[in-house]
Amino acid sequence: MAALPNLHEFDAASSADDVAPEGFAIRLPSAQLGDLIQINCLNRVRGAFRVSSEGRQGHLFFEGGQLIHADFGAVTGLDAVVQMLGWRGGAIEPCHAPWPPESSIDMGADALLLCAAQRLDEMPLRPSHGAEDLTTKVVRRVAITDQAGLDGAAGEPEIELRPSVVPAYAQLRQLQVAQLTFDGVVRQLKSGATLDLADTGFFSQRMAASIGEALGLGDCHAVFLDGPVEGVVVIKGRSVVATRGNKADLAFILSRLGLA
Amino acid sequence: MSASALRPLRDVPGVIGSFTCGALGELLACDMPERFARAAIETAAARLGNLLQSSDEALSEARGIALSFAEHQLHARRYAGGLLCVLTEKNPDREKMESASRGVLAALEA
Repeated sequence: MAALPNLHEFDAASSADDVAPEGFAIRLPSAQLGDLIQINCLNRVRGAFRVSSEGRQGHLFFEGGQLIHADFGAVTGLDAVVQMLGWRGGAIEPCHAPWPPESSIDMGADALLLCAAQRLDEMPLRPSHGAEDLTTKVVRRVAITDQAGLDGAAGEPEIELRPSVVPAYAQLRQLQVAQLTFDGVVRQLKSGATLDLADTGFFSQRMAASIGEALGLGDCHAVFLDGPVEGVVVIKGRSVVATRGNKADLAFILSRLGLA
Repeated sequence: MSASALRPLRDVPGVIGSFTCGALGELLACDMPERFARAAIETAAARLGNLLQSSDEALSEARGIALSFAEHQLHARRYAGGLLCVLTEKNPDREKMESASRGVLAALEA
């Protein structure tokens, strides 16, 4: 997928009236919000997005390859992301929401989605709304200062992304997850993860860092322990996340990390 | 053990160098660029051995480890005599590396 321009670049470009909005309106049948988060982080998009569904509305803020803030009413951070990830249909589009004074999310996209997916699993089942809303989500990448552009995307070319372009983040739900601080304090254990996984994550990250230091390679941001059937992936971002699972379920994480 | 056994890995695009160490991390053979001091490689080898040994507690019979750094990767694979470690750039030719590693492992185990 070609890298798309960042939204702040649209801000500058749109100051001239004769500059047409750049980017495409993208219709992604059955797309998930998690997919958008991954795409925006991958493309290092900077900008605010409004997520709306069945009269509900939240916001996501991206910067520097990370989702740095999310809000849904009074709920912010990971809790807001979890709420929005639970929505089954709606729209996603750039907006002018005020930029948050500080970040409310201290995890990279992978760790965030891992934690959110586990949290979603623990949420009570939604009450039935009758027929499922399977409406197509719309992701619009247009000049965010050009309101006409936001409303008039119908004439723009539509592209369809094959599902294989973005890994199915639902696979994350199969994985045990331990999240801990750099000092080894366990923050969360999910999906049957035990303290052993947290210990493994902490020790692996420390040892890998010392190997990088010895060879002058800098800090180590990911470790993969390769077992015959299962594997453990340890990711160091704003915290340390150790993930254990079947190697087939870990494959797309390894691919994202460039280790497969 | 001669470093010549490791030579096939040199021809793989993206591979910077390789070395092999015993189960406890003692360096057995080395085919790394000069900029990597032997002492540093020995230290790294010992720590890799330690890391793999400890990973057995999390995964029975761990076969190897891969470490990802900003611009490099370090792959360590177990074999009967110890560990084969390959230092690569960020995006090595994995297929060729796998093939070359198999050949080197066969030579090391012979």
